[in-house]
Amino acid sequence: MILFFKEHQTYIIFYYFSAILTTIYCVLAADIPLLDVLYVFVFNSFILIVFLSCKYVKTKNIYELLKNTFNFIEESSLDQGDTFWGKHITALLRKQYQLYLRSINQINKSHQEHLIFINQWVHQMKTPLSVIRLQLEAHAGEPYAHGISEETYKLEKGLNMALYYARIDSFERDFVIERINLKALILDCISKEKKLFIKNNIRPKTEIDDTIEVYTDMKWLKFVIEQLITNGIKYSIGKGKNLTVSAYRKENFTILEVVDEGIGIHPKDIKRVFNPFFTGENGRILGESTGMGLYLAKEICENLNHKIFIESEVNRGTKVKILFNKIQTKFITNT
Amino acid sequence: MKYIIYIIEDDVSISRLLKEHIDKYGLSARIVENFENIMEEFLIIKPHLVLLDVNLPRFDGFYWCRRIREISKIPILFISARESGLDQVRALENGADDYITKPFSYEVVMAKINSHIRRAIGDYANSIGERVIELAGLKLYVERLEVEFHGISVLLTKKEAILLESLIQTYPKVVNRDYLLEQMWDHSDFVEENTLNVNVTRLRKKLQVLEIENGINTIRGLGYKLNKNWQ
Repeated sequence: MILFFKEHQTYIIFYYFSAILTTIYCVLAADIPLLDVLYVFVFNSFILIVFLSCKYVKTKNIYELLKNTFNFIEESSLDQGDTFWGKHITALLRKQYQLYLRSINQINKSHQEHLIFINQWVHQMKTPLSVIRLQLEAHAGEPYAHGISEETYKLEKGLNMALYYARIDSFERDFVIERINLKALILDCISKEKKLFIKNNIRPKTEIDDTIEVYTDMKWLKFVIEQLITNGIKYSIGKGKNLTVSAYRKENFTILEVVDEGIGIHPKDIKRVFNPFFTGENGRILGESTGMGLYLAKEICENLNHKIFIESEVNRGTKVKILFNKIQTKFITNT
Repeated sequence: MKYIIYIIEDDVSISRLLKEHIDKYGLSARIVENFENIMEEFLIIKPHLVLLDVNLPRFDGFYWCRRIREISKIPILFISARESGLDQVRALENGADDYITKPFSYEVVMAKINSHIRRAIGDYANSIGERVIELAGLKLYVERLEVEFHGISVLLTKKEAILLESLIQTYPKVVNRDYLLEQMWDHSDFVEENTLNVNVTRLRKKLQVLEIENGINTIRGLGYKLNKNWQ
């Protein structure tokens, strides 16, 4: 309504301006009685009001659109009515929407191609990795072979990181929520990282009740926990002695904590550790950091409807918490 | 009679390594020769178990799995780099019995081959003989946790057996300390440096019972080495 008046206010002013001019001319030239002049005014105003009202009713949706704009890009292709502006605005928006869709599709296509490539590439790399590993097994335990096997393990982890990063886009099609025993899962993750624990002489500890179960996707959660454990070990080197994974229930939540006694994270960095490619002070000191681990952990947790928090004190250590809802209503109603 | 394992995998190195290892365990492995005529080969070889890759030239592993299933009920194990749940489900739906993801270790492959042959044929003892590791008369019976030398035998604990197995297999080279810790890390138990030291000491004493003095040398900063001072 306000927009409509704003648009028409000059029109109304001009209308009355010309009406006044006309009546002044008429009064001067033909000496018309005041009552007739008033009548002409009222009559003209009536015509103006009827005209504006009709126009407003017909073009109302356009003004509402101008006021509210869009919430979704798809709305821009809706029909804006049969009026002059309605037709033209519809045509214009549709054209723009088409052009926009075309470029989005192009980007999506190249993005998809890229993901397919990464996927295939990672899988291809796993075959030579298997060959190296099998050949190493013949020399298992020998110092050289042990060094190489540690490096192949790093390669494997790197490949997995690339794979999970490529996969996170199609998360909706790639997860299964099950009830999972947390302790078994954590022990499995710790055992997988045994090379790292042993090499860096860090002792894993678990404080988890046998009965704690959570609703989650095993594969994705394992990836997250492996990231947290690897980080914990990496930033404990030469400092921390223990890495503790504990879990407890609190009200409606189950909380999992991964706690290290390492170098900690600087307060100016802590807000950004979940950003992609962020390595911060510790990354600069230690190197070997991609800045992707915590970012992926956060993305995955959000997709699984878990919450993830981090707190840290320089030179004291870091604690990462994952909060599981006791009842995953979101998923239960879906299935 | 030896059980025959048919390896259908297009990577030559993996097929060769798998064959060598399977043969060592007293089974007979055959590698696919012609990817066009897998069914013909299958009928000639008459395997007891099939190891099947997913990505193959011409048709994929799922296709061959279905074809084999039309005529046979033998165990089929997939070996693939694809570790997503969907691929595994697809493999099982096409009639496979198990799924092994790359990169894998011999241990896993052998354990799965054994368990499937045992289940399918029900004759475990004949498929795999008892594993004995030997070095100049010193015999370690891996499954029995027993070590024998010149007619005397001593029982070992699981950890000691793992230790001795690594030492014998790597002989005459040094066994890396971290590697031993890894091997002894059963499931979830973190093994402390001290535990390793204790086990080495115990193993030394048990070797003394077999009249082997100073059987294990400590190599500082690296690990341990068997000192073969017997004939």
